[in-house]
Amino acid sequence: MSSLGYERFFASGGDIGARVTSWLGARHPQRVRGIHVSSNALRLVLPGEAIPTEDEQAYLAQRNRWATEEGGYMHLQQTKPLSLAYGLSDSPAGLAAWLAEKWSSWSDGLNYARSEVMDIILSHATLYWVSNTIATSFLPYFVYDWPPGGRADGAQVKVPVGFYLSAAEIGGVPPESFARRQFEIARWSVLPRGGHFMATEEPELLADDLLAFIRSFR
Amino acid sequence: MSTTFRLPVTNEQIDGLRTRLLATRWPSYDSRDDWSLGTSSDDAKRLAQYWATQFDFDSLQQRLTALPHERVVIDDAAIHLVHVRSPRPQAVPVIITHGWPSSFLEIVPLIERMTQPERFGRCLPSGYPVVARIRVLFPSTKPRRIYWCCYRRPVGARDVVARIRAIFCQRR
Repeated sequence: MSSLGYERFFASGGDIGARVTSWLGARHPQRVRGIHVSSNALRLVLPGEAIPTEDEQAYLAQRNRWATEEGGYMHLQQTKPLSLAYGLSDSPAGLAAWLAEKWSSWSDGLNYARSEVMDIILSHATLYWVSNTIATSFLPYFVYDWPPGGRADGAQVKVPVGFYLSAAEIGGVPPESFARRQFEIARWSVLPRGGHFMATEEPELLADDLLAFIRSFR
Repeated sequence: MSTTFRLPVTNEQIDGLRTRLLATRWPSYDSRDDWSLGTSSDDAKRLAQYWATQFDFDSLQQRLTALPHERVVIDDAAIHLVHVRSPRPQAVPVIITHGWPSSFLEIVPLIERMTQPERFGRCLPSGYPVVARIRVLFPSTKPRRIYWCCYRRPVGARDVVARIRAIFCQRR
């Protein structure tokens, strides 16, 4: 942002973007005015000796089930990314099928019977294909457990934090108490539609929420 | 300083992509519309067929050309970003980062609504203008170096950087 000439700014993101954004908030409190993130900024552990509530236990159990049933990609990309990348770098059909599974199961009902949905996923696939970047896109998974870790410690984030959430997001809506154990939360928005890819699925809702978060600083 | 940057999708690349798609060898097991084993064969084939024969590459190229791409070099790593400037003088900068499996295109609909609200029948109260900008993790022009600078390592973690570079970085 210094290169672009911006002194102070807001930061936002979902998925790995939420994790990167959490680090921006933790590392650059003088520059970052506030961060706006999805539930992906949350660590999936309780801090210290905290005793989980029933809701929190249920949420963590649900995330564990999700990792078992849907998270195979994560383990593979984290442990043997290159073995996977040979096939996906060579076969665009394989690449599209790998991406399509995630866009389908993590979104709020995106369906490939609709050509506009195919256009979305295949635009991303085209960028991965022509730039030959599927292998390196696995890097954040490969180094996930390396220091300093994928997600910032919420207690180290001293700037205001806004969360945007949805029922269709991976793991659903976490209990607010679970997030408040980690972050001091300025805004907590459960959006009525959209899933993991909110900026594409429901850009109006996300824009409204991000703008409302920014306006609250006036 | 940032420099402007073009993200080319060439006709040669598109031709090569189509050739491979049409030559796909599919698994011997056909799941039809069943997703329980992963992407259904119906949808995998539908996507490949559509990509090869109907997907509008011209439209994608136009969308890419219309975006203000820039590049910045931070700690020897080139970062591709889309830097959308608000026409409003008091705009507030926002950096938006996408995730996986995705690209900066995921965020474009959000950015359009934040920087051109009138186009979508939206009304921003005066005095609350917004600039949106994207920091992009991937795809990027020099992807082999991209991770390092997105998660800036603390001093003392140089071995981590070195390991990443040793494994993934091919110097150009």
